[in-house]
Amino acid sequence: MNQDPQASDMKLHPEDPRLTAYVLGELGPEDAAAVERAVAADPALQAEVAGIRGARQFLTDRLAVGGDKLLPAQRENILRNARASSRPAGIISFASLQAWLIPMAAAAVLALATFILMRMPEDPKATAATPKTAATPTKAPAPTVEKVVVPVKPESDLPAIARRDSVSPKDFPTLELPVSPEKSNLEAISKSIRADGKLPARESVRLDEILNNFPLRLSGTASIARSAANNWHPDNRESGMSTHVATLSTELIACPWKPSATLLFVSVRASTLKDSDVKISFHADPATVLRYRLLGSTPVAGKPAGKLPTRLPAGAVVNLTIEIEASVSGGTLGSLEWSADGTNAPPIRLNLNKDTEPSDDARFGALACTFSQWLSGDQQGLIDSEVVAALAREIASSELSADRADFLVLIDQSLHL
Amino acid sequence: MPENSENFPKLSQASPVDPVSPVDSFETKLSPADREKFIEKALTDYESPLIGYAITILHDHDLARDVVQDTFVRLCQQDIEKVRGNLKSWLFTVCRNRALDVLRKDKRTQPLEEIRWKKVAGPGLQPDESSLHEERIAHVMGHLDRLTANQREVIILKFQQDLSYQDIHRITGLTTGNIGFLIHTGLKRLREIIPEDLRP
Repeated sequence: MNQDPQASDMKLHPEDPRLTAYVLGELGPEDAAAVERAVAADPALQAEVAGIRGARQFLTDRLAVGGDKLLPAQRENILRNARASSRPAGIISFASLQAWLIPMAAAAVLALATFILMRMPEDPKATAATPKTAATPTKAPAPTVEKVVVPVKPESDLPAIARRDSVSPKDFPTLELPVSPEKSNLEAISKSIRADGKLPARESVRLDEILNNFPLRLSGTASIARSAANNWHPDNRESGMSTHVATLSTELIACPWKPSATLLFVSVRASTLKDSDVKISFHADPATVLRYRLLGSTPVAGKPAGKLPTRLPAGAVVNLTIEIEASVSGGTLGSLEWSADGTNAPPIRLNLNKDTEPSDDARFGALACTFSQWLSGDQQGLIDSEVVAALAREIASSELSADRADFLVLIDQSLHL
Repeated sequence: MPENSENFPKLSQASPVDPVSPVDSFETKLSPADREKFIEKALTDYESPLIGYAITILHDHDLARDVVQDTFVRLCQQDIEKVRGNLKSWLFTVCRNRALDVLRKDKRTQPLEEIRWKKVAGPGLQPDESSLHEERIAHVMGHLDRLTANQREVIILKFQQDLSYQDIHRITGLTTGNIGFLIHTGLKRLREIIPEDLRP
């Protein structure tokens, strides 16, 4: 605080903020001395100073920081970042990307995708969404397979994952969606790339688990499930009771690796208070949808079908992605129906509007899907390292959270292996 | 603590210290070993204070630790030379901005009744200590909730973190004169609310 020119004969009122600054040691030496003299001469100021000191003591005692520590895994993550950032090459190659390059990168993605699409041999399935093609049982999308935790090892002796092709809604108008919060695969992938210095085995990559590491705040239609068990009513909100069971949000965005397709992101977030049983089904409109395909959640070849996972632990987030090829550029593509703990939640109509700007989270989700499929060798011919790199550059910004920035670093590292 | 994070100063005016950008490149003059040591030292010195501070914004120990982890990860991505001179206020600025960001996003989907003090005490404390710590913090925060958001924030930064008016200015963007006024009037209000507790 600046020196007061009138410090030698300072007149103070008990309401003067300089009294507090004096007690807190925020005054310069001359101002402090002047306040001290004024206080010594005035009992009212002395009482005020005593009151301020009492308040300071109370707050200092009560607000004292406890011995709270980060979790060991969090500390290790920080130290790993510290080690990585100390490497001569630096950890963020995207860092060299100037702001003016980002729009160029976006344009590059579009151009590259268009180029690839034009060069692609015609996909017989794309023009023949006939029941005969799509109805092949082994290509059915319904993930009626209990979640199989694939042991992640860099070796290639893992069970082959059965890939699920696109199907027509005429054959499969409804798809029950798996609700599995598993997300450990990203850690295994990171270990392979960072610690072992090599890309993970293709069979070990689980797109759905990688995506689950990033809670998505989607900007499309959302729906909230509330438990009917405790007779929730708006009037009892103030009582502190929570009847919120889960929230489901959606967003439709253009598919970055297939311009003719649309990605449907679905994010389900559980209440932080309790586990819940969540069932979701996607209903495709045969009038507007040519084909669709659930990304990730792939069953393991040879494993028998099992129970669909539906358990959502408290606070967990599950992200799902469906690639949809529509015959229209706008309109309704279908709907999502869902329930939580046996109670139906409001269904969501999936309205496609290509003029809507995608949210940052949906764009990030699209990047995670692209990267995962590149790692797993899925959609070869459509997704390659250039597409991944260009998308990552497009996503890079100063607004990214630390975990997402770290994901970009991981992508960068993998592209250099 | 505020259920309305909009009461805080806007982030754009929050601080002369820019938050870290993942696209910021770093050119460090420290050796790699010194750089790692610097970050480890910062972690040792500021881990607990930052968690304690983040808890006062988020009311949630788990979220607070996540935010503090993010803060240090961002430090790892930063040009250390640029922050080493004002490391403490830099860390608190990034931590504050990140916590407010989380609070804003959390508000969009989480019912307000789920934001409570129940998770304040974390696993770093023994059960009895944890209970006492939780009780102590909840008690004082209950009183601080009756102040304005600005009063509450500067009082926490001053009395919990022992930051100078100048450091608080760097973190919040408020002028030092305004900070002095807010602390003075905030203490005055507290003495009216809880005269017995604050009696010297």
